[in-house]
Amino acid sequence: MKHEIELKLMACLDGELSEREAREITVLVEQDPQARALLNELRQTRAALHGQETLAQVPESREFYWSKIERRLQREAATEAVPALSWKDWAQAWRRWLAPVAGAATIALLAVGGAIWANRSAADAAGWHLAEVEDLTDQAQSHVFRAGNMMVVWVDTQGVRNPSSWEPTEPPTVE
Amino acid sequence: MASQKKDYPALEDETLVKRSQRGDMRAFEELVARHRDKVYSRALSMLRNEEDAVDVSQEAWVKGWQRLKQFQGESSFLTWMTRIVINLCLDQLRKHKRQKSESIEELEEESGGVERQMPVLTVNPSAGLERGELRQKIDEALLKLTHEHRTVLVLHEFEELEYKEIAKRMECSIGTVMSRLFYARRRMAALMAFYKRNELNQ
Repeated sequence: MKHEIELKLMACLDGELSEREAREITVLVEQDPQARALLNELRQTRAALHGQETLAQVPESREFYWSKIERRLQREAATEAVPALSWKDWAQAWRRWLAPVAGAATIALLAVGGAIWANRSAADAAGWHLAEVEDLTDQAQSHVFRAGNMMVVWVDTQGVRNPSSWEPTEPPTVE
Repeated sequence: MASQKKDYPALEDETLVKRSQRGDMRAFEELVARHRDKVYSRALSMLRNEEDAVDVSQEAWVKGWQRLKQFQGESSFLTWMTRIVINLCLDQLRKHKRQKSESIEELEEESGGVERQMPVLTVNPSAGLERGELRQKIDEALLKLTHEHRTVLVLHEFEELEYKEIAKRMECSIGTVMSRLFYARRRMAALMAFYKRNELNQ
């Protein structure tokens, strides 16, 4: 007998076939003694098993059994009280942390900016600046001319402005 | 309050469930005391190991308490608890199967193994047996089955689930459920006939 037919015999017994399939199986059972015998065996086994589950007793006292459940419930409740942080929780935590830090940073920036501004105003008032002064003396050329008690100092800065065209210039003639 | 505690054994399941849903753990304790043997028995039928059955049944009660708000009373509280313990047993069996390497027994499970060649039994194996004797024989025979065959039998014969529902719970096709149930029944028939023959010969 085909396995498919065997399964259909069992499904028919369990009421899992459509009406048309059940009719086909009924006809088969009437005609085939092997199918009839198998259906009978399956029916007897099913009847023997049905509702025959043994009611076993928990091998622990009521108090001990319950105490273990209670402990587990308390443990689970304690774990639930400290839930794992989700990304939303993390974002909120960051926001909570970032807000005061951003505020403090803004105040610090304002304080530094204010100090610089105040310093600059004071410098303006005093006539000096905290500005870098370019010292070009090492690049400048100078010539000294003396005539009696008169001295002329000639400083050539043209070459400094444009070093590539830095060529010695003729000193002026003093008459 | 003390007098109320004494009343718990007299209360209906429904009332105890409602009190438990409001957080009354004493009411839940009474439900556990009332149904613990049935929940444990189902775990034992499926797992066939006392220690595992105690553990899983206790886990089922913990889950039951945690999900109590989801219980709408569409079925009885015991049916609801039984479904929880069945799911936990199935999880445990799946874990067990993953750890175990594929054996010849498992390969034969779908194709039927020796049951495929077994001649059809004409004598009723349970005829003439007292209820207690029959249960004992069934218990012995269930021990000889593979986890898959035993589970499908428990879900169909004891829990009275349809093929479709069994397939969903066991995460397999309806065809697999039918094949497993067919061979499980044939093996049970053969084992019970064998025990009966042995008894008659003694």
